[in-house]
Amino acid sequence: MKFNIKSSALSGRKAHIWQRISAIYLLFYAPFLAIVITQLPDSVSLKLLAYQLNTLPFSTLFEVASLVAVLLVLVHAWVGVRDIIIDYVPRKKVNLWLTLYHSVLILLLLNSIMIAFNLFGYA
Amino acid sequence: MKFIISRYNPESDQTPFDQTFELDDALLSADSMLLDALHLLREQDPSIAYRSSCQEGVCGSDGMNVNGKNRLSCVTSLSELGQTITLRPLPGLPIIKDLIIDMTLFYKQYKAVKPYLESIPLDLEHEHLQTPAERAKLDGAYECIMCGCCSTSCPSFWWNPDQFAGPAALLAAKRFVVDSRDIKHIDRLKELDSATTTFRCRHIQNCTDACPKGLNPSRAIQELKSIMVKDL
Repeated sequence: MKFNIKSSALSGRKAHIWQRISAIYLLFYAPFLAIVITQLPDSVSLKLLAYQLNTLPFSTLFEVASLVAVLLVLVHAWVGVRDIIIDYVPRKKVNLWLTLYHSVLILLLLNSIMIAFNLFGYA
Repeated sequence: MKFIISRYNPESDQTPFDQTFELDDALLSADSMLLDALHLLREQDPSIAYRSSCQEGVCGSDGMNVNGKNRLSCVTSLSELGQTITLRPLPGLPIIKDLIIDMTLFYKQYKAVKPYLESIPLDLEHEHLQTPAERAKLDGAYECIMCGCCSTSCPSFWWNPDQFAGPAALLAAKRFVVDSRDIKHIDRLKELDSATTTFRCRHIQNCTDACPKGLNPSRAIQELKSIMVKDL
């Protein structure tokens, strides 16, 4: 039984490239995120956090960078977890698990976008 | 010297089992190879089954798992193995009998990468020349003897031997992808561009560790991926 992933737009070389692009981006985003966190007060609620983030001098840059980071985390995870599913899930159930996994990623993506809009006040 | 050998006869056994043999050290010399010991053990028990042909590390037929590592018995010195030696068939492929495995899937993957030169029609009156630099690109890729030690030590090949090409086949693929005389460079790369054919390799480098010829299939696969990223 063949997996139905050869026809996917992100199989093989393209997935390889995206995984590396996302890894390099997150390598630079992580220290940026750490710097932003150090600028925030010790304890804030979600609403205050959004306010605090908006008062930072580089808030727009941080918002855009964070949205891109969320998307690239999902891309990176898509490739990595897909590989694990192909390797470890019994052959007959691979397509089912890949479908479930894709559904979860789409839900996560939608949820992340909603949180981002709420957090940064664009909703 | 003690030998623990995995035995399996499909006509009489449900599953493989271990059988222990003792071999008098006096029968062996300091430079005895594992294959020499197997020949002596087969005098004790003629039913022990294993492959061997050239007996000098060229044909690659006597690959087996020795103390947990895939090796060629004919070029493995007994002196480096200790007093208890555990022999099993190469892992991941069906066992035909004892230490003999069915390599059909391995050869199928090798055949699938078209391991032959596809060139312009040759002028038989002249040599098909390469520069020394072009020829040097083939070093480390053409010496494979197809013993299967690399592919059968690769977890990705264990999981999906019918879909992942495996290190031996990908090493062969790289050899023809980088050959300056081959005219199907792009076609080869397109055929290898799959999540299960080439990109299933996670570079854990068991293949490089196992290769009895000292080749580096893991690096070859990495180079193959880089070529695919650049040229496709």
